[in-house]
Amino acid sequence: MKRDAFASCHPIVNFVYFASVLAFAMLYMHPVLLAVSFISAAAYSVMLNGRRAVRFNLLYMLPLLIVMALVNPAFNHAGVTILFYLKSGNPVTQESIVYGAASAFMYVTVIVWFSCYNAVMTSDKFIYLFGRIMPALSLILSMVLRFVPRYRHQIGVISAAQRSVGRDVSQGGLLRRARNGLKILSIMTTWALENAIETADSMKSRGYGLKGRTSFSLYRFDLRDRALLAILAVLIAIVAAGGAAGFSAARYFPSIRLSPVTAFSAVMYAAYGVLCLLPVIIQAVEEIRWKFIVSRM
Amino acid sequence: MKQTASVKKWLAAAAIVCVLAIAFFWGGNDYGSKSPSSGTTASTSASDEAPPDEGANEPSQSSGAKQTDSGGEAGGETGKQEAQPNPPVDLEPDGAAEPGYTASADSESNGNQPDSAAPGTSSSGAGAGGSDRSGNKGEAAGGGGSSQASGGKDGSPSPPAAVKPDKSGGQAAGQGTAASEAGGKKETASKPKPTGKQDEYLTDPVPAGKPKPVEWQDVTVDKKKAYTATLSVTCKSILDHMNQFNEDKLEVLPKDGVIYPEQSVAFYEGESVFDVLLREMKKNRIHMEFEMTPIYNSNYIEGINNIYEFDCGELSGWMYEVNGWFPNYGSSRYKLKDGDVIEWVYTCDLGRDIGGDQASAGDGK
Repeated sequence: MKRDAFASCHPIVNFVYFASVLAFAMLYMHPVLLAVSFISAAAYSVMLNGRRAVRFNLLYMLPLLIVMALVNPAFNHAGVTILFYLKSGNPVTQESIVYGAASAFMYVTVIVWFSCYNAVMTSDKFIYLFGRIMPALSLILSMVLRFVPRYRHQIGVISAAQRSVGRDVSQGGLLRRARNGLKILSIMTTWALENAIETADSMKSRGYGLKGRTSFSLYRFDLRDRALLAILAVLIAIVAAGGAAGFSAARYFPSIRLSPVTAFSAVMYAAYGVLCLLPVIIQAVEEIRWKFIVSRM
Repeated sequence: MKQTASVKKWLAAAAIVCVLAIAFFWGGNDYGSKSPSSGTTASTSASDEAPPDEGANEPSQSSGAKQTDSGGEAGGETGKQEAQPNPPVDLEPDGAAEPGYTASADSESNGNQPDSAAPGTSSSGAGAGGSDRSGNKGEAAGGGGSSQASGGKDGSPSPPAAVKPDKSGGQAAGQGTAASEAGGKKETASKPKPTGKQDEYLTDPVPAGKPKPVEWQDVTVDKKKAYTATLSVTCKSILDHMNQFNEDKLEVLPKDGVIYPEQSVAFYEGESVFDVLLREMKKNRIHMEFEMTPIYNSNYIEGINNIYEFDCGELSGWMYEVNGWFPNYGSSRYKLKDGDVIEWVYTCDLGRDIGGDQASAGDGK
């Protein structure tokens, strides 16, 4: 991950941003808002993770999106516009196809947002925020959230060690490979159980959750964070007000009825766009400023 | 430190209670709003839920009801013991108290009062205090059954015969009997046979004189023999329950509630009610969605013209009627005869609002 200006802000700013963006992404089904959120999430993930994010988005998210959009009309037959009939006799409707596409976009968008969240909200930030209020829960959450990447990494380590003694899943006949794979899995499970206990013990021995403890990482809530938090609050208020006013309303069944694009709703869309793209904007502004400084030297 | 921990615990408990309270008042709201809307439903549900209410209408019975009530309170522990097998007993009238049904069917519509009053006392005499509700019901359905108290007692040890596998069966069975008990409706004189022996697709025995279900797998459609039947699809019941109707669906609701006006349609030898409906809906480009339900070996109609099940309250959905009878099995298993009159009707109240309560008591699909 490259240095990200937004990730260097105070954790509370990061957390408020991701909480609001994820909530709005899950709540609003209006196509304009979905598109805004999807594009912003994709842009931010590419900015954070570079080529890896591009590969992830194209290799996994795109097929997922297509499959989800196609599966919905196969099972959901509501809607007034009948396009054709399935062999079973159930109709395929335009509404169910559009709804399938919209929900697929929403699903993929939320996943991509979470990939950004994982890159920005590291576990030390999370514990810094919530370690005092709910120590046990925040420790569990921060452990669970990095479950998959951590285990994948450990499997790589075990697999490399096994390969050096000729017992990897890529070595030997079919039966041999299966046995090796099971062996690796067994080592992995043992390690995971032991590691969980060790983590708990080491946290306890360091006095985690007791009064007067400070966090591993310390953050200062400075002027920039205050300004960002204020901007965030204003944007969230505008978007939430727009949602309450019904600008985000989208009905897909029995017929598609979307809240029309008006001047007022355009304000909400714009605010939503700025909110979602805030980290990208900050990064761009910082880069421009840096280039400007460099050019003056 | 300990102080704060206990305070936190109490706070957490209070928060949980708050959430439960909100859920209680917010969710499950449909039952309350329904009763004032329709006369018959209100009366049946009232009599179902509160026997004392019924007693107030009929003075002679009130003493019996009160007696049982006080018996329940005085009974104490025995009352509690009795209360536990209550659900099976609730279902009971449908199955076990049947023998006298056809005999008393006529007297029931108006002669309900003396019938139920007399056994009411007998049940309190037997000391079945806790189960006053079920006691009343059992008697009403049983009519002239002589040994009523023993009948009620016999019922509790043998729930399997009475318990319906259908998810709504329990409730429907109880209320269905309550409806006929109140005497509000009297559409079919005969009810399914009491034996409780179901076929492999969980269908109760079909009443005498009505066509038996025919599995669609066994039927071959003979296109050479064409007959005609009459088909109609209506949802007039929604017009009486507009307060429960899904607002989004207003645009697909016909003003007069007629989706497919009554007309004669052609069908071929061996076709079922479902086949005819599907063909006609397709032909007229009327939307319809269905789903195969293997456990009942029949297609279940989820929605017609985008009016779906549960769109008008949680007891709503599509039912069908052939020659004035609501079959107690699915439409794919009803083999048509020449001249049959098929009506697809939308119910907002498990069939009670359209006169098909018995079918829904078993398997309404």
